[in-house]
Amino acid sequence: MNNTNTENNYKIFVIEDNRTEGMLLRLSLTEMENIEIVIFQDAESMIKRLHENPVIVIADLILPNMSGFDLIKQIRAINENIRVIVVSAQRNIDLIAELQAEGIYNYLVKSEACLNYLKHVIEDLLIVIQHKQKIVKND
Amino acid sequence: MNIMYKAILPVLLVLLWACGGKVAEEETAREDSVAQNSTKDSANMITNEQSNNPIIEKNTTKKENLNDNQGKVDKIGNQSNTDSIIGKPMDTQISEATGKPKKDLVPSLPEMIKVKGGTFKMGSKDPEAKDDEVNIHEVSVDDFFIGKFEVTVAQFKSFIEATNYQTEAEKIGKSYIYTGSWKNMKGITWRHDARGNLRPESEYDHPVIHVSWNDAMAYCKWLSEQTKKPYRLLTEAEWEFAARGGLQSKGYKYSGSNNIDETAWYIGSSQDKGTFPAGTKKPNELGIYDLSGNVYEWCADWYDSEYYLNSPAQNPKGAEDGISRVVRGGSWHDTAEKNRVASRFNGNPSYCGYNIGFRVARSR
Repeated sequence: MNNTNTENNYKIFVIEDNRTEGMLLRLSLTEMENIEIVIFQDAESMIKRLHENPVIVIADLILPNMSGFDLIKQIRAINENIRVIVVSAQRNIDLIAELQAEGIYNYLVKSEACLNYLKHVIEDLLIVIQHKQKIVKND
Repeated sequence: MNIMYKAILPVLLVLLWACGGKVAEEETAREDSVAQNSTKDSANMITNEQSNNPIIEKNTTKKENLNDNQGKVDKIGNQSNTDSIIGKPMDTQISEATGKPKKDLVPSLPEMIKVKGGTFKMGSKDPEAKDDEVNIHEVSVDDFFIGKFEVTVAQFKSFIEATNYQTEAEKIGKSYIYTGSWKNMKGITWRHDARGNLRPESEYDHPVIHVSWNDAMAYCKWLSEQTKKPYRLLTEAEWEFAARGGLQSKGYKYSGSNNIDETAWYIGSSQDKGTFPAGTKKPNELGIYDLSGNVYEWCADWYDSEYYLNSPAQNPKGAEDGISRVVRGGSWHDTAEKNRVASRFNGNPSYCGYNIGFRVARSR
């Protein structure tokens, strides 16, 4: 099993229990180069594969069998280098602040336009990650 | 002659001393009288505020609060004696060199703009619109007054100095900051900036942050007592009507422009650095600044994501109850879509952080 992210291949894990939304997400991100998207129906099955070192995890706050907060804590405990992006319909600023303080990378509010914005966020993030990898390599 | 002079001089001195003493006594009596009246006004204000604010009652006794305020009482008394000056709108002048309001001309109390009431379509079907804003519905609001700027650090400081009020961040002991990552940081209060640094006085013209909805309400109550005018927070409908430019609306996406860079301090224009001085971007059609961007603004209403489905058409005042209050306008840390005039957010009334302040309103 490939458990590394090279310069040419970045794993992005997505937890989306809604098949349609999962499909839309996959479609919107497939144009992006050098990424491999893995979609999970629930948090537990995703956590079991965290050893594969995804660079990004995308999750909703409302998940089957686990709260979004618990998921973020678990991911951060296993590997704090994994960037967590939350995509949710919640528009509560104290909830967002609390999630941010837990160490999430970004919070996106669900809307028609959010998939496009998510794409930009991921593109920018991958540039940062690639840049960091180059610095480490040169050192 | 010499003998006569020697005899009269002591008598004259005694007379002079007696008269001078009397004048001095009268002056002292007048000062006492002013001080007592001021103390009474101040006492009433603090007592009333406490009776409506269980948080204060929990933390300080009325007596303690009065004693703590003794040194600040004269200031309150003087202010209430010059109510006409306080109530008079002051035109903030903008420096040509910096484009910022001149520091010495920034009024210590909010400058108000009268908004002529009217009917408008509330909500939006922008591509960025969220579920809670897509039910566009017609709403009418009466005339009201709105703060030309978000309440500044200097204005909030006047309130704190006059009342010794303890903000929620001070009571909880922390508030959220942003320094590239986010933290709920100990010791952060309204005196700090978004990154948690203590603000220098040169930044007192920025909108105040690290204040909760409850703090904003306490400020409105104090301001009402001082000015004898009923200050309050805006209703969500008033906020959106004003942000859209009221009866002079040009239908902009952001308050004052479709080009967010010219009208708002948002994540792009602020470069994610923090708040900016109030009123340093283009105002909207009504001459109101920063309705989009700089800091989120607490509104009076309880938030309900489905409120637009059953909102009354005349002067809606939000859900009857709820767990969070309406928050509007986006902030320096937010993307453009959250700074739209129709974008709705909400927050727990005790939340305080790096991105939220408030603006005052009154009906008359």
